[in-house]
Amino acid sequence: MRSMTSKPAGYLIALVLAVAPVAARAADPIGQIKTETGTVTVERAGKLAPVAIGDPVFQADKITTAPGSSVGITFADNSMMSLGPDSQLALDQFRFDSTTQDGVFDSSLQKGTLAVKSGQIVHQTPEAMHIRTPAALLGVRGTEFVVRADGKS
Amino acid sequence: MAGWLRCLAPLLGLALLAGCASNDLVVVLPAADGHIGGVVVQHGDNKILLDKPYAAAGADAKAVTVDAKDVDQIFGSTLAARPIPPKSYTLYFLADSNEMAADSRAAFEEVFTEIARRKASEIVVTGHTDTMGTPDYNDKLSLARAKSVSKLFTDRGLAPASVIAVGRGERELLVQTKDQVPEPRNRRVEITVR
Repeated sequence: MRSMTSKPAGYLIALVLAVAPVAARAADPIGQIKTETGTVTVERAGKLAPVAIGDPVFQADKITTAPGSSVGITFADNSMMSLGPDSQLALDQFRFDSTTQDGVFDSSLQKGTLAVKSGQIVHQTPEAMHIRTPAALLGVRGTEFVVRADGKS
Repeated sequence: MAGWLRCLAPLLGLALLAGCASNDLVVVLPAADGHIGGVVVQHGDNKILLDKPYAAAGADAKAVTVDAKDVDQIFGSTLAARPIPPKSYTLYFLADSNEMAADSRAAFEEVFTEIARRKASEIVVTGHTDTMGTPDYNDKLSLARAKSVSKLFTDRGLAPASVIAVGRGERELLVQTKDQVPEPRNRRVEITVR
């Protein structure tokens, strides 16, 4: 566990990782919740739960903000994303080798607004970061940008 | 492609057709360091590279005009939720020792101030070597140095789970040298608070 959170859930996951080292790699956190306002939920392995500042996020998480809410996340490659109100983002794929800085970061903005700053994955390999919206595919060569998706294709 | 089919089905009625007027938008922001690698937006066969401040495109990957005021209006609350950017410090050590150089001790203390600014933080301790020895040896050496510096932080009370040790070996030289060149400025540890 990389987070500084003292939430019991964090210890529970750490415990599970400790007794199941084979599964540990796939279950490594890929980022941490840094900012939050209002109500933010994560769908993980079919279960919906609220998230708080300090919580880890994982590959395949789907993050949803309620109307009037927002959330900011910093990832393992120092890339950053923030989601505006009434938005939904799926963290489809994240792989990162911190020694070589090779990796892949694919996510989908299903609806709402997203601000992105690319990190070491894109610095090492331009366009190794993709963001899908229902209508378009974005290939990131390294920059800070914002995206709005209205949920229609 | 399913989306295209839906858009090409006006026979189904005007209501559906109206639904095809997507509100999607991508806007590149000015970069603090002035360098913009850009974003490629693709929709079907349309493709556009946005690589200037406020360069923007709609869902059809065609350029649209957007200014700072529009961005603030549409994305204000999203931008307000951005995390504090990661901040980095470089520490140097006396040759063949774990003892920090004098200025590095001050930087070491600054790390704790930076952590205190943040509601939730992790620190990444990245070891770098010069080009003496093989790349493989330097990977191991840089990770060992990173781990020993990580201990300085956990000894000061940081949760071990929040301190991440990384060895970059000789991949990221601060001073470019040929192979097998001893260079103290390349033998360093970078601390990133994020």
